[in-house]
Amino acid sequence: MMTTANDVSTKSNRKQGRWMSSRGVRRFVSHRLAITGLLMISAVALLCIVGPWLLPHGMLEINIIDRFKPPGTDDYVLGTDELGRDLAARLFMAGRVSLIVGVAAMILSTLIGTVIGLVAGYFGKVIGTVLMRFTDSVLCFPQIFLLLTLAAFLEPSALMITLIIAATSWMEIARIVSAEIRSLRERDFVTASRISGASHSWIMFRELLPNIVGPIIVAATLTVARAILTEAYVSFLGYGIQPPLPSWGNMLNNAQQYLDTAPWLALVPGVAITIAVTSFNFIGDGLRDALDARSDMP
Amino acid sequence: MTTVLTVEDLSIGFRSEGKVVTVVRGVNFKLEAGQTLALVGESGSGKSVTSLGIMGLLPPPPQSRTDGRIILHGDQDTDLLTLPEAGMRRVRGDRIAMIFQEPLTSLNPVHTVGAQIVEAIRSHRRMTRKAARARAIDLIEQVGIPDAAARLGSYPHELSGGMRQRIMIAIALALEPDILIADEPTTALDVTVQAQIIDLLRRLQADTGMAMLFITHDFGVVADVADRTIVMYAGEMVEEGSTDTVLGRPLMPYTRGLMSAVPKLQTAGLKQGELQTIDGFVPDPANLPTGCSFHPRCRHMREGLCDVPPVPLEDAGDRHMVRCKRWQDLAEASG
Repeated sequence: MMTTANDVSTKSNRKQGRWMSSRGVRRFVSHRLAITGLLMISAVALLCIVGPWLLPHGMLEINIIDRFKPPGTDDYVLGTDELGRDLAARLFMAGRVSLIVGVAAMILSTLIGTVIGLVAGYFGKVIGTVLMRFTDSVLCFPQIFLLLTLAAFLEPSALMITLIIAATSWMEIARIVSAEIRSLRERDFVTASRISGASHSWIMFRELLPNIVGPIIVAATLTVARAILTEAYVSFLGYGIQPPLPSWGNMLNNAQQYLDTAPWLALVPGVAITIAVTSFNFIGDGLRDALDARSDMP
Repeated sequence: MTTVLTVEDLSIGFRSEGKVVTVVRGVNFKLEAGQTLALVGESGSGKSVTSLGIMGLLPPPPQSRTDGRIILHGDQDTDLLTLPEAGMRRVRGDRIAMIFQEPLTSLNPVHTVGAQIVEAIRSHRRMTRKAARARAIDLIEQVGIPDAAARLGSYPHELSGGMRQRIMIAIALALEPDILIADEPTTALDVTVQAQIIDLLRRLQADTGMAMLFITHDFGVVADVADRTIVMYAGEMVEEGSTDTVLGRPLMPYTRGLMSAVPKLQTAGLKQGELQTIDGFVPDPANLPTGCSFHPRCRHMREGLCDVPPVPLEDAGDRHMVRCKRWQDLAEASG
């Protein structure tokens, strides 16, 4: 009899244990836009990964006779550009570059922002003030000028553009993290873990950080969208990814002189950027609704 | 009896608007192994600050100022006030553990209770995760939670207040500390759970022989747990003695006031619903009255006597100490 009673209570408690996370998942799944975004970006990523292998032409294959073919001609699904290169092949390769740069820049800027925000929020006082005023001062620079200045002095490459984007987009995450930590560090469990002899770094990374994973993930997702956009306009201005390596941004750059004769050259990468950026924004919104601690309070 | 902690002449002050405000003045006591000492007083009497001082958790100078000595006895005696932070970190949790008033917020909401106990153990002892887990199950059983192994995977929000306080106690006991500081551990719990937690603490103390410093404002709890009792007022000890004497024959008018301010179901000689209170408020530590700091609120105050310093702590016999200039008159008057 006793065992049965115990088993029942254990089972119901187990269910409760997964309840919080499953509620988050359910909220995300029921967020239509977020799911649409997730499906769209998965499709884009899949196409970028496997697309180039499925197409008959390589992205660098020049075919002067087939210049400016509109989409759907022969085996050029999306047409060709001014050198007769397959636009679809270029688009997918460009997608690889743009997505990788966007995600890598997000990871880097999230790391920088999280560490700066954690340290600033946890220690407060002088350290916190100095770090956060530094953050504010970086935030004061218009990002585009900072980017162009840096890009003009440094050798443009995919790695360099990633570093530059990361260096100019960590501030928002730093501010979010520091604000969250400042309220969390006053909670008793922080004192409790100090009382059991925990070090500052232990408290910061093991006790406090897991509490703010939600807001960080949301901010990071939105950062990917912004990083893709940033890479696109820096490349469009000619300071980013350099041809012949394609990126969605520099494809637009090439396309502008043929806008009246071959509009698909601009439309195709333009649509790709729009899809990628809106998808990430939708996912970010969905995650915000799903993970927001305030809406999770019973 | 072995003394595990000696607090000598402890004074603690905080810097506020350029000057130091002293909130704990000249506190002396000893903690004996296997014994419980209660610190009793109103909010603002300096009892919690004293415990934070022992833990070395006060803001660092110049924001705070600490004088006196806090000696942790052991293989060799250590003065905790001069111990550097790294050494203090080894003392915390390992030699001295602490539990708080709010078990709700003292556990990290994102870790399972098992993980929190395991980490508390592994932060001080070289132990495999598996051994620490086994120890955690032991501890959870020890604090009287059934189905211990299953509980390891529970998150704090799945447990009741009493359960959470039990988990806090398990964490505090994980390293078999010499001293457990309990800062109002039962205040946030309802009465039946309160009694269970106090029973648990007493049983664990009997098993482990640890010393307990029990901070409370509740005389009912004091009577249940404490061997000795210190009554604090405005940062000073105003009465000290064995719990039986302090509660049975309180000499300081403040102690009497506190005791009659405890609501009882039936109070002889008082109409139902009428509760004796102490008039006035705890004085501002930046602006203490001269002489006895309780005199402005005391019914037995005599001008020219009670407001003239010094007011020493006097021995009323049998290690019963009282800080009152009129305790002899008052004791005679009440027979």
